[in-house]
Amino acid sequence: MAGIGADRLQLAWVSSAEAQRFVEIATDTIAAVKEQGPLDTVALEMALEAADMTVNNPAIRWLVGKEVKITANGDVYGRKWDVDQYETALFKELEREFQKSMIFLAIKKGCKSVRDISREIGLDLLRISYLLADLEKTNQVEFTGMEDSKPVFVAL
Amino acid sequence: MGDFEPKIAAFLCNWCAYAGADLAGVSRLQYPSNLRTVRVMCSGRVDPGFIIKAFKQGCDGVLVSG
Amino acid sequence: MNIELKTLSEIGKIKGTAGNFQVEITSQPRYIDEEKCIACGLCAEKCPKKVTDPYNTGLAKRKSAYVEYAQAVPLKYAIDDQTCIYFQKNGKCGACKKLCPTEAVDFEQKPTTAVLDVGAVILSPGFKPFDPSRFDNYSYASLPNVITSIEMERILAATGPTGGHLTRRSDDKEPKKIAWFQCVGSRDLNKCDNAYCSSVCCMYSIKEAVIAKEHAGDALDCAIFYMDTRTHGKEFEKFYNNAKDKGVRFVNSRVHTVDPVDGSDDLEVRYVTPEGEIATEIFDMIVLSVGVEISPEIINLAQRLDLDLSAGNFCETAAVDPVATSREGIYVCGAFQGPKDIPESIMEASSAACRAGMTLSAVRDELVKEKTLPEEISVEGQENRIGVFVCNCGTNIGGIADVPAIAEYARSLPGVAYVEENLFSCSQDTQEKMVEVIKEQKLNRIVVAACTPRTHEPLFQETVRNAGLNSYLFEMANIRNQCTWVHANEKDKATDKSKDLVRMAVARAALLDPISDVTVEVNKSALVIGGGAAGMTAALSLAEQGFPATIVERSSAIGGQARDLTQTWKGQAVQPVLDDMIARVEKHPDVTVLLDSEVTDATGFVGNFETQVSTNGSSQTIAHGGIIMATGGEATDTTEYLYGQNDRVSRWHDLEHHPEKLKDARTVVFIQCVGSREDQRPYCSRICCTGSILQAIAIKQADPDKNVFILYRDIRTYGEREALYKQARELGIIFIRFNLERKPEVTETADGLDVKVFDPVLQRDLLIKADLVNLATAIKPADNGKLASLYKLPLNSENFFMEAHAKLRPVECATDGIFLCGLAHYPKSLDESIAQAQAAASRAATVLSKASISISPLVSMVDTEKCIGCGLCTEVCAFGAIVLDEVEGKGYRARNISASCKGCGLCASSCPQLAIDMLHFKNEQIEAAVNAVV
Repeated sequence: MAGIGADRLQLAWVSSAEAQRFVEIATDTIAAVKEQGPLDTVALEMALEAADMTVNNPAIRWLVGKEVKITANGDVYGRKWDVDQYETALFKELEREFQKSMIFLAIKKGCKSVRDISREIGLDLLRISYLLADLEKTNQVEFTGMEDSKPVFVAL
Repeated sequence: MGDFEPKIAAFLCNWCAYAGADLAGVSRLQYPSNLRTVRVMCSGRVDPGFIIKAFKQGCDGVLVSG
Repeated sequence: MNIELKTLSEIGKIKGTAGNFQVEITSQPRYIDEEKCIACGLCAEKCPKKVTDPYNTGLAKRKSAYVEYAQAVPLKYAIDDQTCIYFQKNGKCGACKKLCPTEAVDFEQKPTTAVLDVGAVILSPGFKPFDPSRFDNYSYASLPNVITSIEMERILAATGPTGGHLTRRSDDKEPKKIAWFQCVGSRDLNKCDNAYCSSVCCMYSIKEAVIAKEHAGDALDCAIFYMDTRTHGKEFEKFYNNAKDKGVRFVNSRVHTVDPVDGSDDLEVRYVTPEGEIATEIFDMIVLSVGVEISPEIINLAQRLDLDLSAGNFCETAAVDPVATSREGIYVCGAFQGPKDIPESIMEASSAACRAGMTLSAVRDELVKEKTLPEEISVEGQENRIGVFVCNCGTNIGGIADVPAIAEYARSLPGVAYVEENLFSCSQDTQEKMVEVIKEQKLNRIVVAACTPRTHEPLFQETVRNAGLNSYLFEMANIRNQCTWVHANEKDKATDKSKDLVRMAVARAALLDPISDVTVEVNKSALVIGGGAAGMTAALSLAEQGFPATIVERSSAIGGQARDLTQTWKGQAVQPVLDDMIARVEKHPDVTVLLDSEVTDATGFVGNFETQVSTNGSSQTIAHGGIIMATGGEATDTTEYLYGQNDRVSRWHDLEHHPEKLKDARTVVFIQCVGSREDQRPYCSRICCTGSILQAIAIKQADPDKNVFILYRDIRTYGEREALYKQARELGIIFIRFNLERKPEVTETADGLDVKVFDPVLQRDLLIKADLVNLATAIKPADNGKLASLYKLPLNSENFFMEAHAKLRPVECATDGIFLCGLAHYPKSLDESIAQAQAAASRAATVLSKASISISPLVSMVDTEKCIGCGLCTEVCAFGAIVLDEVEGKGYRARNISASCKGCGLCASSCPQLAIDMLHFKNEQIEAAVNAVV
């Protein structure tokens, strides 16, 4: 989502006795990362910042922490989710929070209007407007008035 | 790309993968030198934030192994 | 500190009596000073003499200077004087002595003798694998591709001679077809003298077959030739079923001969199929599943010590006191007591410790040594003065990475006040110097760049503590195991990586805080849940060591399932023993029995539990330090085979309780595995084969004219119980095998019962006109759900309690301070229940014997200012180590229960508010290391 490249992050389980397996995983991980080339932290600066905000977002952390409960016992309404359903919902939420963070950072960087933001982060206008309302609600951005008949926002 | 030597932060569980990595040493198994181990007491300790921080600092990859 | 290892030593005679033994010990020289040896391995590397390596079953070479295997304890090298050139050729050589960096080699060492005064003795001499060389028909000695299962273990091991690569001996070819032959040296009186079943071979062969397929791919054909599969251990039947699903073939036959195939190294196997036909098959490799045997040396030792041995040369014990030898004060555990696997050996080891503890309880703690430490210096508010010690580890690090360059680099890092290079940081003299340097230089954080914290952190923490610093102001950089050893051919890169690792360690060290040890006082009493044989044994074992125990029993009498038993498998009458046990429980001043009682609520943690017990509706709170789960189990009911519909069909001990039924019966049929080893209960109930055979023998002995049949799937008379199976067949009891697809059928007739069963040998249905049918129904655990949720204990899928580790911690529960025994753990016989109960008591005593216990302080800490009381942490914690408290005016706040915390940190990485941090693994400390990667 942030453009880091999924291959750069590897998860693996190794037991204390599986030295050979560890070596395989280490070797494979290194090869996979080499394939990706150096991580361009300058180009990805904003995306990484947004990703950082996303994983520290309380709602996201809550949703992740609840995985077992929601998929095994059901949600507060007693509905049981299967793992796929849960993961789809989680992905949607992650995407939404990430995009919100990108918008927030874009405004912070100096973008004023929806069009500016769209140019900066490449999201469509409608989606930006929709998420801006969300950001306003949580007091992260403020609508400060109209300029050339375009709404202007500042990050708080 | 041939000369590119990535730096990879490896979060290893003290009881599992870290021990496995130690044993690889005892057995003198050889692998490339790009991992930089951060020992944790359980892979559950690895906050997603740590992974993003690693990338922000310029790590080219992250391995989490429990 | 309180365990002294005497390696290379042998016991001569033991004089005296229980409580006051004099043990003669002869120690052979190691020729390497244990105090000086740092296990660098240089002696072995430079030793010119290669010899076969017994640890690798002769498949590899080692040197005359050696350690037996990488995990040896103590990890000290030794010199084998039988092969060493110095000893064999009058002092020519001595390379190890010249090269040893710590001058540890001492060729002048001589054997020494000593007499130890002890109060009790525990024997755990183990077994030796059966040597199949003498079996001509399997040609083990002459055909290289016929190997033993022990050799197969080494071939499959990643650290073994082939690096885990599965190849055969003759031509290093990867085999396509492998056969395992079971019962080689077991259950065999024709070709050897071992009548007993070795108990472990079925399981290890299945494991080897599964691992072989994992290594070589699914196409590998694995066939196991067996007489009866004996997968009677906990979770073993499922493993067996999985192996079948993975394509491992099980052939019910004992192979007669192996012949070489002309013109190749392959092997032809001839055997009789279950249908009675002769078959031949060709394999690339054959594995002989060798049994366990007691070596002549151990038999000799037993004779020296005046101990009785069983028919199979195992140490004789009574089923009701399973680890006590025939000589008071001398106890036995492990394979010398009888063939057994790892969890049972470990269980029994604790059991033997319990019996020794009972013998010695009057003098407990008298010889215990404790260490005194200097007062801790406060480092609060001080500027960082980090000391970095870079270890060469001989040439292990220094021979690859540029240690001076690493040290130089360390000097440039922020906060570093002192840097030193050591040849061996861990050696005794360096340790002493380190203490002085820390004091002199007023260092307040220490980094050692050397080997792994997993083995050496405690040592260095002690050093740091000896210098007056808190032991948590210490960090290691692992530049050996995870750097120079694994990048031996990339010297520059290893140096660069070492610098990075040192930088990360220094960055983390700069943020370390002192952590005080956490101790909790211990309530020295135990709660025993369940008053059967296991619960009573545990309670008595504790009380006799001075720890009061309260038994909570749901029914109105203690005694449990043992009430139903007539005799143990060793032939001892159970009821007199049980009556005696009950009497001792009732009159012991330190045992309280609560009948008609149930646990209704529980709080607390190791050393400090509080349990609500309701007795006939009235409730009381009991405070106690430990818990023994002995909730037992029972035989299940069934609707199969007309049970409950026809009076002639009974189960388990019904016939023993109603001998009048047997009087006029001509034919009795026992049906095994009723509800066990089936989909709804995919486990073996373990005790039924022996149980039915014992009854059948009694019936046949009382009246040889009665016809007795046992319909079975596999006879599982493991260990020396096999003698009963043999005796039963000799008495004329008829055994007929059936399989799940064609179970026997029981129908009612005018004058009895018709039992129809398909005989696989005759390949047709047999009709047995039976007067009585007795069913061995499955053994199930008590309803453990409520206790499991109260104490946060996991259950397996059949509701038996789960142990903390299936192999290594078989009586501990995952929650500290709670121990497990008897049928609550898995179906088992009376002797096994008693052994496990003693083991549970022993493990509980390790907690209860202490005034206070220190718990790992690397625990979770909630910041109540940031916490909003959402409770996610309490949900993710698997150990019940965080609870929600109601706080006036604030709703809820999380609170740590540090004694239960394992320090995994899942709570911290899940907390939505980032309100939880882990001591010694704080967010900022981990992030500092992460930030220093680049």
